[in-house]
Amino acid sequence: MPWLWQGRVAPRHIPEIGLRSRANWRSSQVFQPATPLLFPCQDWQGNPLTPQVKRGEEVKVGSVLAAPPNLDSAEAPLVSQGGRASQASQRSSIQAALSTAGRPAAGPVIAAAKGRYGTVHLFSPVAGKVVDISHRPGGSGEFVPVIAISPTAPAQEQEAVEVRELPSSEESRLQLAAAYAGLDLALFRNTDWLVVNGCDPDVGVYGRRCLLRERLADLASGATALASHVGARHAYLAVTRGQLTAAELESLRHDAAPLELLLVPAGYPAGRPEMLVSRLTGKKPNRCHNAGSRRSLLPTTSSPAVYCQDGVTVVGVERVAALGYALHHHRPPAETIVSVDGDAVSRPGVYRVPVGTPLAALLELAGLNLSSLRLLIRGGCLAGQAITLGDAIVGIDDIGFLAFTSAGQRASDAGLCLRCGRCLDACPAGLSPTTIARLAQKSLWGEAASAGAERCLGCGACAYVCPAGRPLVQLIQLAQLQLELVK
Amino acid sequence: MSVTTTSSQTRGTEPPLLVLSSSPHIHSPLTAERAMYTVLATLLPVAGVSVYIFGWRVLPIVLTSVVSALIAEGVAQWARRRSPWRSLKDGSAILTGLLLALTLPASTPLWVAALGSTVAILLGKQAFGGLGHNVFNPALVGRVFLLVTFPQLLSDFSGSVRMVDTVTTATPLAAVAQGQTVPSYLELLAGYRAGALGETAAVALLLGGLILIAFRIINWRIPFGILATVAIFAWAAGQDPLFHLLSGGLILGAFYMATDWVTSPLTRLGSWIYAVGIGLITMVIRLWGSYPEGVSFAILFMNMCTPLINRYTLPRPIRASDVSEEVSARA
Ligand code: SF4
Ligand code: SF4
Repeated sequence: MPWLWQGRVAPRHIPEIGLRSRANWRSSQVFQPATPLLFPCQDWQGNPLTPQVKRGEEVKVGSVLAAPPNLDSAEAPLVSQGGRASQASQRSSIQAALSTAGRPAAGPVIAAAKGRYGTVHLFSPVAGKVVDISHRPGGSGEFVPVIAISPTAPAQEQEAVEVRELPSSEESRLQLAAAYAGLDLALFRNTDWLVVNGCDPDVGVYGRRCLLRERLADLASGATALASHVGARHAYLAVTRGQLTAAELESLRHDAAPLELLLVPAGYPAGRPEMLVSRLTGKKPNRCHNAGSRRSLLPTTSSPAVYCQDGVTVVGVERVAALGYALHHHRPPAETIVSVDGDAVSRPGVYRVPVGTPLAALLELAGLNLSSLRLLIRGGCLAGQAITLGDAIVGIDDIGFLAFTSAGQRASDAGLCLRCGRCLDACPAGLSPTTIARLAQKSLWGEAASAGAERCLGCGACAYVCPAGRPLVQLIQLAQLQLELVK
Repeated sequence: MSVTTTSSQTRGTEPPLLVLSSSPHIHSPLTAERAMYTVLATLLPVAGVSVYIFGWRVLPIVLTSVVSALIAEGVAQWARRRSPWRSLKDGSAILTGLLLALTLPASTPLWVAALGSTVAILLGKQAFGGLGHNVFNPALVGRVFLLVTFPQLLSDFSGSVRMVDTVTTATPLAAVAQGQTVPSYLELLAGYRAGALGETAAVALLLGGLILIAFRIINWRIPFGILATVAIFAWAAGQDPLFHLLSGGLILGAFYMATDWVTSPLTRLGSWIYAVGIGLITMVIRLWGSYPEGVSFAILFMNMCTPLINRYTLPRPIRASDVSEEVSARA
């Protein structure tokens, strides 16, 4: 009974304070924003891409909007460089298919290539006219080119225009679909266990449970293709206990057949990818070290869309559903499911919106009371990112947004540590948050590192439970940032 | 930790001022203040039972103790140029005063109570740098100070018990030591026995302790470990375990003194070591020491060991086996 003397791997359930239970939400009708759709030239890790279209240009469904900047765009392969050697021939067949379709001429390289480059292309999910290309803050806080497209018709009603012939082989079809879904198949190279993460990972977001109910067909075909492609020994679908009813679970088990269900206990960090990996490998959870992941400039503690560690690859259910959609319809996924909740919106719910919808338009639909809005969060209450309204765009990876009229419920004031040990009990990584935070407060970064600062997941459980209201995770993040700067 | 920023609105109207704070954006409802006041609330029935058993003399003692603790806290904070109001309202000084009063006999003169709680706050807490820095449980520092300074006053349990005819005026443990008749279990449980104000009400103390455990305010490992160790030790020494559990200040100490957040270890393993240590020392003092009662000394001793226990039980800095291999996607 190690729980008697060791900290539990998962902290106790954190109640969803201030939010009503949304267990039975279903998404509403597809919504069409009146404004142009916005596509930041970034891949799923926030790496910059170079725009390949010019203002005023007409684009079709499936046109290349942006390409990795490090490659000569005329020869840029459609899929990542890092694939298996045996895939090279298949890649060239896709390239051939692409060139027959008459790709738009390469635009000037706008995004200055700095640091790591994106590896996947950005495709247009709608046909329409490029009305603007401007620099705005992307999801990571850096300024990236954002392509604004005014669709000729609602994306869902547009015919899938075959901009290119379909590749003949199964494998290259998957490559193309993965590229449409923005997935870099090279990331799945070392996968023994594939986990499709269907858990809503944070408090106050509900997008994934709705997706599991409503886009099961896409999900199943995407997961099947992905699992057979990566040759994973086991493929799991992680679902939080109590997130779906027993009947829904049963139908999931049946319809998503190639995936084994992995039931995850309710309670906060259990649905995070780090925790899923730890469940499967039995090791302590560790912070994500995806090759090529860039650190965000804004404080963000939520986890990336694809997370690989120790032979386990965790990929969000929305990306897999996007892949399934792309496989089935031969076009980039046009819509996504996100939840909107909080006391600043009068119509909280789960919405189906086109990818690229400006967040302001979605919130307007959800009945945002603009004058009372004080705190807007992308993601959940515990690891979500506070954002501003104007520049946010709904992307494939978004699960939910929260809008509050007050600046969060915090402890009244940050006092001295009372040495109660609650943060140690709550920490899923088995660290001593109070020790690391104390060292960070004294700017002893090296000592903080040897106390394990770099292994902190940033889940926020410690700062949530601390009765003295100490900013534990904030101090630990500061230490991580400092340590990264030194490197 | 938060900045306010103007959001650049895409279309017209008043741009709202948004808070850009870092996550987490919510906080557990259990704050330090709330925990302190919950502990205080569970001690009220104990004080009530005490009034019932010892009469109205109890109230002035408790009030004197609490008020002088508050005064000492306020003055000390003011002298250290901290806001006195902030530390007065967190409830810790009230709790120290109340706990100290509950360890005093009913015949204690008021000035002794006042002196005790002033010493508790000044020497036990503020001398170390205030709440969070103290090494010893302040209430116990006050009690042991009084015990050592006025041994006569602190062991005079005469003439204050409601059921004088059934109970001797020696505390049960002292009675055993002197070979007198001891009260029955029922009398021990209900509190019809000689002892300090708060020690005697075993039922009320147990109830309060269980409530605190249910709210997860105190760590159940500590009282459980202490009581189990005492019972096993007593049984192994050929004595009546139940009698040892119910007598003296053991229950008060195990549930309310030893569980103090600040002075008990941080980890679960540490809590077990600490609890077993308290149980062992208590029994050693009870069986072989010159004092009939040893809980206060045992807790203070283990308080002293807490930094050491923490040092050896805190999660170790990185071990190679914990650091999992980075899977590099395109090495
Ligand atoms: S945020 Fe806190 S609780 Fe979460 S892993 Fe880091 S130190 Fe542990
Ligand atoms: S939870 Fe807060 S008060 Fe308790 S030990 Fe951790 S830092 Fe200190």
